[in-house]
Amino acid sequence: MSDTLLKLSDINISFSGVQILKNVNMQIQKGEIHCLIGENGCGKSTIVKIVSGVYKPDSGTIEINGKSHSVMNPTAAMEEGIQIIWQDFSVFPNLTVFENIALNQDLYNKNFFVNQKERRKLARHALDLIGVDIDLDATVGSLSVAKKQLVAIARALLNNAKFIIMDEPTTALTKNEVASLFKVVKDLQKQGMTILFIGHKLDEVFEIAENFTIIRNGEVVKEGQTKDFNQEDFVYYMTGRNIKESLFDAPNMDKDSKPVFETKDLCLENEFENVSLHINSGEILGITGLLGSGRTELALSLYGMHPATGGEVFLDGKKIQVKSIDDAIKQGIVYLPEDRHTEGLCMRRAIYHNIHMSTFDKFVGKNGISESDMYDDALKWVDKFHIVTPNVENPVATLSGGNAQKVVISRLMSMNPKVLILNGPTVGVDVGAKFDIHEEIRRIAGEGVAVILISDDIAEVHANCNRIMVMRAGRITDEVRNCDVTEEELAEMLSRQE
Amino acid sequence: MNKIKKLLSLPESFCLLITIVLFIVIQLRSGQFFTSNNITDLLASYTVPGIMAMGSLIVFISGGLDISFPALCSLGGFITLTVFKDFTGSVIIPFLFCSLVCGLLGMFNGVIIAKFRFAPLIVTLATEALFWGILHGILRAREISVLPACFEKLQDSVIWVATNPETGISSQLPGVFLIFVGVVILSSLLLRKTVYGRKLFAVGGNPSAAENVGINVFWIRVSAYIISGITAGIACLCRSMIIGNYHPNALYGYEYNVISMVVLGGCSLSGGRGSVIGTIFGVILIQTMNLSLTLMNVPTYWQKFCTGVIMIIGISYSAYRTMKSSQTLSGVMNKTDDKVKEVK
Amino acid sequence: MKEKTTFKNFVKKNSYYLYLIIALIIIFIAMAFISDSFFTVTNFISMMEQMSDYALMALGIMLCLCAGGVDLSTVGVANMTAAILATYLIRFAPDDCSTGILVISCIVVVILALIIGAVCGTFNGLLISKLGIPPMLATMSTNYLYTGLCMVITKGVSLSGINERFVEAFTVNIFGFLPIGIVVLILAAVFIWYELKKTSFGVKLCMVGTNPTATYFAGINNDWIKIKAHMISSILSAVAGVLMLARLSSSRADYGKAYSTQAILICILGGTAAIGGKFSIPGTILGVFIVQAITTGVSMTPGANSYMKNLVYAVLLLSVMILDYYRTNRKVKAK
Repeated sequence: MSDTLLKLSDINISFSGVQILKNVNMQIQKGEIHCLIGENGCGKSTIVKIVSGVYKPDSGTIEINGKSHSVMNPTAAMEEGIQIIWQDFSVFPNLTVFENIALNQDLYNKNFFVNQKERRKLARHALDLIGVDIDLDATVGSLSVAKKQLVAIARALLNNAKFIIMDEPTTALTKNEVASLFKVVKDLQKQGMTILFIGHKLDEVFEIAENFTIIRNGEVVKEGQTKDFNQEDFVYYMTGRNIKESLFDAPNMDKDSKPVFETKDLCLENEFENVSLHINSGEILGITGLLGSGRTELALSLYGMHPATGGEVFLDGKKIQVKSIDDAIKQGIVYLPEDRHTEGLCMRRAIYHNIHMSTFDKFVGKNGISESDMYDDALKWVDKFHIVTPNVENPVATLSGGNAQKVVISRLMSMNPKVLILNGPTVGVDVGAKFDIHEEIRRIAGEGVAVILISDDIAEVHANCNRIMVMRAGRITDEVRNCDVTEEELAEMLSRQE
Repeated sequence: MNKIKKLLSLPESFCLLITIVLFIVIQLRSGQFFTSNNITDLLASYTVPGIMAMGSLIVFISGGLDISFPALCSLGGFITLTVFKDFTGSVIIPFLFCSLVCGLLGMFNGVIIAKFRFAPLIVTLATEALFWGILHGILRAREISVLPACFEKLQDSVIWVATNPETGISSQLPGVFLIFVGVVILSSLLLRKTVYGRKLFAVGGNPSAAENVGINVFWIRVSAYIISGITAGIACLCRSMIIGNYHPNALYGYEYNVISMVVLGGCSLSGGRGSVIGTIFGVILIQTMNLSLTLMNVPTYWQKFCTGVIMIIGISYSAYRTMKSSQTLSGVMNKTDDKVKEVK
Repeated sequence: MKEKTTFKNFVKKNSYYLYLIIALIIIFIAMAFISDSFFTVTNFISMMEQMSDYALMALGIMLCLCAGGVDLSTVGVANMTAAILATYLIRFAPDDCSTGILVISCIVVVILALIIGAVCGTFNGLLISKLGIPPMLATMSTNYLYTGLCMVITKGVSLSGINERFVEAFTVNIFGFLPIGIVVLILAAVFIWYELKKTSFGVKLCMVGTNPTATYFAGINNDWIKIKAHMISSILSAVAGVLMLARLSSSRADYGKAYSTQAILICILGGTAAIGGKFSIPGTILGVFIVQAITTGVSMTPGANSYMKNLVYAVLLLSVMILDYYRTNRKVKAK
């Protein structure tokens, strides 16, 4: 018996006439931690769905443990010991922790009746396997993202799992939680598990994976051992381009002028306190912190969604009140939400409608609202931000992640803002588009808009913000200039324990 | 202490509380509430809506919605009573037949909704029109004033007779009440003790996750509608036996009654949440209200309005509570970070 | 680049409406065989009289569906309005009143109807937007409430004895052949068209119906949009109530229960999406014509009773939905 756990040979699959995977060959050895990387939309998730039996390839073979499978389905995959941790964890928020874990086992055993005592024992056992202590009776919907993920992992371990596939596991985790996760993964490897990571965060690949496979546009472009490559190589293979980001130094900032936007001792009960910041036009101010540091709450407060309970806000030197989103928008403060799919865009609606979502009233003239004006105006934004689309009447859902994000940015810029607050602008955006968006943000700052960039991506904040504020547990703990610190020093500031 | 607090904050507890308050109010206003014959009448009246509520509960938990069940069961009931018109055998046979017919009609609902992913409201609105149309348009249903002979024994069976010493009025608790009890017990077992029941909750809570873990979402959804059909059919036959006859329009518009009972009992319309005990409280609350207005000397033409006001208040309050609880911010500064336990 | 408005593109974009028109033509052809009296002026006038009630409701429900909800309270509002107005007329405009009082009463009746509709609609909208009650449940509950209120007002009996001149005035045929109901319907349709297509309300409504979270972040006032949609729906229902009152010259608590279902089915048939985000005025109007043709057709078919029309609607709606499902899915696969 060979040491190869999984072998994909010449896998091809297409949907609705579009080729998603082309002649994909991939090999994973037993007991290794392997990483499958590629930009969003390159076909990574499709490979997972083929291995787990949800999709059937048009051609090619799947070999597991040396056995060839012509027909793969979720049950067969489970029997081979394949367990998937999906990106959204596929947990049931309305059920308790032990229910979520035990249900998988019930399905596997094809049980009819439910034995609550047995199930609790089983769940406790699964959690012990990964060394985690979570309240068995807690409703999963009330747990933090990291805990939900641990429940999903515990669940996967119960059914004689030999091969665990994790789809984008670290997207919503803080640095600490990622470290905990990696420890769990390494422990699992010691127990003989083979693990496949799907992702696109390069620093994590280097930390955890021994071998990797890079996919671009549905084809395998490179594979090998991570110790033989560096970050720049990876970016090159993933995007096909050589990209190196320079440090932003606010070239257009007028250093003598007064700040465009300023807060003094801003606080919101239970969320943050004594937040004093200032930003001049032409600057990009970074606010970073771990998940749970209060940075999103601060952003929403500045935007009027959860108005501050204390402190003062100044715009152009004048004191202002921001008690509602309407207040914020009227005074030129706009916000890019964290989750563009649910908070930023109406996916089924046309691109040009999404671009003007905040400014429909501007297009109402003597003859009523003008669709053609909206259409033409949208074309200008498509041009300005290089949005790739054949027709602005198409639904936003037809765009890639990066382009969809640019639609939201267009919408915000069409409001002629004074202050642009961005929360996680490149989350779920592939590496190539990420740099594009960074360039657009720098240009926006260059045009005189005060940009506040909120993100937990240290590299992003370090490269693109001339000044960075670190938040921890609701307070600003550090303020530095990006030219004065390295990325590593910045990362250390975030996770420093007091 | 924590567990009791958690228990009290459930919508089911709130429903129970309001029900008890209602009992006390009615007793104070009429003095007739806690009499044996009134309680017997009330219990008897819970039978029909209670059975239907169980079916609706199951559909809601699975994430679906069915407003066609009164039409469905009127049709199924009529077909059964007509087919078994001269039957003299065991009463179980027509019950099985009715379950079969209504189950098939329910499957019709379920397949259309689950296969094409249409909005359940629209589909069941259409099938409701379809079922009424078949019942009145094609079958030309008329009142059946005497039930087939096979129902006689069950119809006449009585669990107890309660006589009010003051007024001399006596009430019977009919045997079909046991069918209600049986349906309740079965539903509770199904939901809490079987994997199928847990699958219902799973599909209602997160259908895509259910798909990913290998649950057959399509059949779970369809089966929920089949169950809804079967329970409605049983309820229709029970109703005929309690009243003594079958009338095709008797249940017209009954869906709101039942749905509000299930909702007030804590079941979420979006799926994944609900309980048998809560639904029972909801049935008791609304049905008692429906019946007791006469006891409190409220004129007939005021009754619908009064019930309507109270239902809206109840639904509003429970929606308000759900809204409040989901609006809380994360409380960043109050968080304590739980650590991962070192085991090995 | 924007696609050229060639005939081919026009047909492709509006192919759904063409199917509806074809269905209508088929029904008309069938009617030609079934009955001689279908294609008469009297029949067409009678059809126009009947359709105005539920067509008004359908237009209103269309807005609520587009907002991601539904309005099941239209019949309750209509009946309650009719009851309130009947009571008013019986008290303040008895048969022997002067013409002046009658005229004032007519104006008051119309204004009252608009106010009642606005109040009911706002109440519906507030329950849905401020309390977060699912629209189906909220409007089902208010329908029950309004019907109950109607029973309180009528004391459960049919109120009759409405001023005959009022009835005449509100059932007149304009130009001799256009029932006043149709004129009202046309005015309502124009109003709705203006609101949806000429103001920003229409496009905002579609966005709110698609993703209210995103519109909230974008600064659109979701609550007001939903309330406005329900207000318009209830006002149209109240107006329908006035027309029903005049046509039947009496008021009962349970007139037209089936209208609600019919109106919703018309909207879906006409292409308004059940999940929200899309509306179609021409589709709804076509749906009204189709449904009215079926209603009249069924009543003229020998041996058919009026319940059969429910059967036909249901079968028609389900078939259209299923056919449309395959049509749009085929388009995606063929690419």
